[in-house]
Amino acid sequence: MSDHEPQPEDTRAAEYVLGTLDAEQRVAVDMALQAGDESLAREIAWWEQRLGQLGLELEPVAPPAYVWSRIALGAGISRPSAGERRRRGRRLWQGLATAASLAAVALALVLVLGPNRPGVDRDAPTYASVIRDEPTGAGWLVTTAGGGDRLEVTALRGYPTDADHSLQLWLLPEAGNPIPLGLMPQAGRHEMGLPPQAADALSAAAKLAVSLEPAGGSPTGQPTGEVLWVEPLTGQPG
Amino acid sequence: MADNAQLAQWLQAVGRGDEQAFQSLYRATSAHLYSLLLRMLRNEERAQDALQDTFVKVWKKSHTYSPDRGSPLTWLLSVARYRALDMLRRQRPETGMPEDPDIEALLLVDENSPGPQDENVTEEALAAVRTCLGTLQADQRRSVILAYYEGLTHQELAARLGAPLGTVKSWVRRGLMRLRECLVENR
Repeated sequence: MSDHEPQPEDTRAAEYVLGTLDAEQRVAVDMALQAGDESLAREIAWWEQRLGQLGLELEPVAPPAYVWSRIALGAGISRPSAGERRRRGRRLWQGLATAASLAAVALALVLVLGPNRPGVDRDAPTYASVIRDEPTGAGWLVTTAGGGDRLEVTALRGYPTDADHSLQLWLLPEAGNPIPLGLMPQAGRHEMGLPPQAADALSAAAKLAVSLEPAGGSPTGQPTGEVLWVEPLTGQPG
Repeated sequence: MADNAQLAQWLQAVGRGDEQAFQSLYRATSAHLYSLLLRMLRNEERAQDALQDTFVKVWKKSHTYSPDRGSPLTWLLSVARYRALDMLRRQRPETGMPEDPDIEALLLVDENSPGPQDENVTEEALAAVRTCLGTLQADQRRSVILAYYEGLTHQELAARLGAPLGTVKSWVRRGLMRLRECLVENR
């Protein structure tokens, strides 16, 4: 294999990186690379670095959160089960991200469950949960309100879905089937009425789950799509 | 935002199958890649597909990074860009090409702009490319910039710039030769 230094008038590598070679020339470069032409490979890497600066000139645009879910699926990274999630959570206690989210949870719970919060029916137990998507920072604060007959869901940071899908919240009672609660807001605070069945099932042993459903919510009354997050409820007895 | 050393560490951990590192890498770099993909593909859905393909490929080690490839972010950008070029080649000729003069303005008028504000962008490298692009003749510069941001072929460049194919080929070629010369001098 000839491994000569590129001549200045040889713009093959530059045009390969730029994308202006025709198909035949491109294949020839690919074949030379496969055959181990190191000077060509170096020249290509050199141009990738230089022309890559143009890519950095653009203002970054955050992709929608669901792209990460698709990548995780495509990469074969299984979304951890609730049990794995808890184990992983413990393992990462030292991690900064987790520390930050724990601080957020702690703050949220102090605000929600604090003893001096006015307007709370002191006889009713209060429950709260923070649902978080670690990779994207999406999250919601979910708290009971009105003495336990409704939920307040506050989006901390949205998790956009495409037009064909909605995120649906479920109560997972200690025993029995998931109870549908409502659709997760992408922004702001949203109230959901709690059906009596759900109000009765609220306990520190219950959990909240969010699944990806067809737009408008599950047509069957039970989760039909991927369950994205499962989080425990933290409670303070009334 | 993570610096180059951190990105390189994550990329190496990704090579060992470290899922946390993969997530961190995605969080730190995806907005840069997505921005370029949107610019090239002009369609959110396709840009998202390309972004997905890029990261899945990186995870599956179809593309492997080594420190001699330079900065991890520019390396990732080129992986994403090759993917977008493939998609453009397959999509042609039905792709409409809206006029977009502002990209050149962004690069050439904005000499004093602070540039993207994160530590991944080595201001010197960016400044060198900017300066050197400025030394190209206008037609050469326009050809290189349009080819980079829009993935245009020689034929498409010729149509866009209203010049004969042979002339456009020569603009690209001479532009790149001049750019290389200047970048080597400015090293």
